[in-house]
Amino acid sequence: MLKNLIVGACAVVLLAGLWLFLKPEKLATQGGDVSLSYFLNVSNGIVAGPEVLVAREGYPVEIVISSDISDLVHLHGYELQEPIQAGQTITLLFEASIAGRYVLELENSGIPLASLEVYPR
Amino acid sequence: MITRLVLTLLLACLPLAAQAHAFIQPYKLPMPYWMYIYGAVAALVLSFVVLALAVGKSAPGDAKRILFGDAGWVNWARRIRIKLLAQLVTVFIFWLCIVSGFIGNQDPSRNINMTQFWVIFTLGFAYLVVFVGDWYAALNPWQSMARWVSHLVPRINQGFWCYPQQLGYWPAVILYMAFIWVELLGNTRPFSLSGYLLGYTVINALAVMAWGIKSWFRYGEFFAVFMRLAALCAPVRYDPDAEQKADRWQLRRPFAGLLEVEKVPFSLAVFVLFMLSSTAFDGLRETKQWFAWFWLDPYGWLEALIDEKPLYAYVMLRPWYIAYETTVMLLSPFLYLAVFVGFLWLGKLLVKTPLSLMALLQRFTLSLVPIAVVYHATHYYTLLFTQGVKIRALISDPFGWRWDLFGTLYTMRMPIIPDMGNVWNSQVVLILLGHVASVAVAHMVALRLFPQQRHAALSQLPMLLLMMVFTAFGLWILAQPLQGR
Repeated sequence: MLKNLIVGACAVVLLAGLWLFLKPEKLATQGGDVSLSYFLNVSNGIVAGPEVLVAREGYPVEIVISSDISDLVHLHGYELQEPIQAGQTITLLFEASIAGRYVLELENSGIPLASLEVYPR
Repeated sequence: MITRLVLTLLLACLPLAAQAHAFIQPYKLPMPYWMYIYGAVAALVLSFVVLALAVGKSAPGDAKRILFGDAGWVNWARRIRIKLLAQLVTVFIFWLCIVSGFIGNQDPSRNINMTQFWVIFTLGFAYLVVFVGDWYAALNPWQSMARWVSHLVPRINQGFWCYPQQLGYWPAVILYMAFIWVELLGNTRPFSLSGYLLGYTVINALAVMAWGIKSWFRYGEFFAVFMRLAALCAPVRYDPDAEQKADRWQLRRPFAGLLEVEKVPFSLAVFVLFMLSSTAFDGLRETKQWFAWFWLDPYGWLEALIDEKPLYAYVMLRPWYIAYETTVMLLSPFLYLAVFVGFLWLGKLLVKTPLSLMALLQRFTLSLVPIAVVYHATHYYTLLFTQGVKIRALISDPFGWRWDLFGTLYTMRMPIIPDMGNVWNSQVVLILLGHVASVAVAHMVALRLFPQQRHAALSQLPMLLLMMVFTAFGLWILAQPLQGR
């Protein structure tokens, strides 16, 4: 019993120490540059622009989208929906308040525009 | 640069891995690299803790159990025929899924069948058995319907033929592979899902007529096999066939069920390994590397075959890509099997046991079930929050026709998005728990097989290494960057 307790306590101390040792001060943002403004263009069903839009939780994000078809721009998770007319440019401006990975797409035609990755603070 | 641009453009045309789940948008971010390293090192530390605690222990006897099949509240539930009621509800929901897919709105997020089947049933109910025992053995809708029909046609209890023992669990393995293919590559919509469910119902009906209810739901109906295996981890044992009422419900130590089965047939070992490999495959195919391995053709094999860069031959290569994914998926359990057998062989060499590799495989396979269960949970459990909660709105409008039967249509429409830090922490904790449980179960099996403690401990060194490999691989997949769009 005493042996079990000692082994258990050593393991807890070791694991906690390891956690503190490895955990960085701040989480690094994966996936490249942290730019808070992005531009996407849809032409003939093909999307030009970054595949992954990287953001940091708590900061504003601006996504400018132009399209040659009329549709509904939908950012899942944040549930932002904005109609877009053919030839028009729209801007989604919002605070990246929820960490996670969310799909931005043209809802009706099902064309995926990009993935928004919001990393925790 | 041009390659990257072309890849970007083409990937926009590719069906995403996420589309495998069609309407589900996974929101998890890759686990930070430091957490992956921490998880792997912690697994190693915990492995030695398990070993240190196990040294000096003898083979476990029968685990303590508390029988409560004859408890007052259980008898009360029997009196009001709660099982029959639950079976009726389950069968009703099952047919609702089929009908809604055929006649309802084809928007996957507005038709109840996608959320009910892919999230509530295949995830939620599968995780439920890990806590409450094999409820599915009592409420399996196909089995319930077969039992009801057997009152009219008693012959189907036994079937027209004896179940061929050499078939073992292979029908379940094949059907499970088909299910995973449909899940990941089938791009199901409400209508096609109903078609698949109806098709599976026909298969079950024919198989029951051929081999009888008991045999088919033991060896062939893969959901039954999956749930039964996962339920071995549960602290509750439910055995509907127990002769004594009191024995039907038992409390036991978590994971003790894995020690109740002495050995499993080879086909069931493959099934367990596919539980493990199919989840790893799904995780892997969502990563950037997976696409790159094929479309960027790092070794130039495809380019040598088709004389141009694969990216420029997308239309031609698309069926190849599906064939490539299907082949890897089908081979994955056998790849895991080869690795598993290799480590068992090392253990056999160390202890010089006369037991054959097959005998060791049959005895140690179930120790992998905890790792398989936690792999599955870490990959999919968040879908219960992001999509599963929407079932509340969908029960008011199952066909997507803007009904509001229970006044819940406009509730829980927004997903619950768990904090990402909590998700990562829970993934590491779950994987470590599964790892520890697997190491402990394997060690207890070894103590049973090898009376000398030294032999038992020696035999476990390769096994420990194997568990480390599986655990580190599981964490590694969770830490990989995901595909773009």
